[in-house]
Amino acid sequence: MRWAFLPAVSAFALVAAAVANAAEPAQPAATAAVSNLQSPEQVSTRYSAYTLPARQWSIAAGALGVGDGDVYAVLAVTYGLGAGVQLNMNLAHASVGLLNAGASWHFIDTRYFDLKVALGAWYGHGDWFWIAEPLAKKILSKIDVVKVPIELTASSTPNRWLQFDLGLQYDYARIFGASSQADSLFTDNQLGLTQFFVRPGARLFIADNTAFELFARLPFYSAVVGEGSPRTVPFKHTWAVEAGLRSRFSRGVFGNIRLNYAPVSDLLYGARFYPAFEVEFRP
Amino acid sequence: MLASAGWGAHTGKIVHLELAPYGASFGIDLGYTWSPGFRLGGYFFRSLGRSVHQPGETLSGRAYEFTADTSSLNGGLTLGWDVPLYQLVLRYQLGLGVTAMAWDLRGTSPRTENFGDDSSPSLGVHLAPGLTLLWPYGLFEGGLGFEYLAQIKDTIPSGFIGTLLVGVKL
Repeated sequence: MRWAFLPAVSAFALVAAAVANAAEPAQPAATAAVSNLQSPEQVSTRYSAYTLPARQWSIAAGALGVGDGDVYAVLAVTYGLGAGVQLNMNLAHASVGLLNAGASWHFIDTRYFDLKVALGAWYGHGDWFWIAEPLAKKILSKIDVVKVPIELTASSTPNRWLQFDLGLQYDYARIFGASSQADSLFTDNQLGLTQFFVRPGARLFIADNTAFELFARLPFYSAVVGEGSPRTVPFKHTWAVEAGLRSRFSRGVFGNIRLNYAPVSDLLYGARFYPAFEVEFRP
Repeated sequence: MLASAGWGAHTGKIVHLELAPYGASFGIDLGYTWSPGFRLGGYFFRSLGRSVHQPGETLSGRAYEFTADTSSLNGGLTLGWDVPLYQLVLRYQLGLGVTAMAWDLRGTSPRTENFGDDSSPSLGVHLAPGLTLLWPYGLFEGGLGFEYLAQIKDTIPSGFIGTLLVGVKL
């Protein structure tokens, strides 16, 4: 399981190499010419109320995440349809048998306050989970997981240095055909967890090309819903905090390194304190 | 070319076994940076580690004490990007390398502590994302940073290493 993120690392290397030639010179004048990380074409859509502009593609590759959308590995493709709507899919998860797709709508867009609603649909069939070790695969083969995350996120940018974000998310998840042994493999990584949580966060734009980001995931209800009665999971196993930096490497290329502190990270990677990284390419 | 010195701490246990193969660390960091900021490099550093005296318990419930003494050699290649930040440079990098962890368990056996048939040194692959804030000054540069060695092998603990870097730009 600890090798699961290596395909995404390869993708990271390929993306980094591919964009090296298309990069702008790293000079202050050039940096100013391409605006800042709050502009629509550069703003982070992760945990914010913003979406990609119309006809904008985004390809992001990363690994070692702890949030259920980026756990183990990310190879996410996102497309902005226009009118504040974007579609996204994590191909890294789909490639190991966890089909997923999401849509977001940035429906309130004002100078100081923005709102986004997002809806996802995930389906995992244990038998498709080819990356699991033989014993785990045998157990998983009998189960299915369905998950529907519904998210409302508000963002506020009081000035050019600061942005506040607040996400409210409900994840409906149901595990079918599971024994307690089997569901633990999906619930340990929180993919199969029904959850209601808030995600407050803040971003400090320390330069035109770099932002410091701080987020917390604070669930007030977490449960495993399977064949029997729901089994609640205490807060002490489900909360998480992360701090990191996001920078514009060059025109259309962004990098992000985060440090997470989360109980779930202990189950996923053997340490509560763990890093995650991502590179995003917006052609 | 940068010389590095720093301190590392393990961030997890191997089941119940505590190993500390990082601690005081020193080494070198070499690389070439293209004008857009893209950097290809390599690193090698030695961590002195330390001994950890700890309790154990057999399957029959008998309590005992033992000492785990570990140290490590780490090396690999990095992909990175230098981002200008006012007068400084913020370096993002991702390393892929190998850790050789020398270990000596005194007062117990490797099999008892879930090391199986592994012998010292244990070899494992790691991923190492990191950030460094550098201050270029003429031909010289120096800075502070960290790298996180995310170990893939189950018997080597992951570790966080804070580093001080000093070097020259050739």
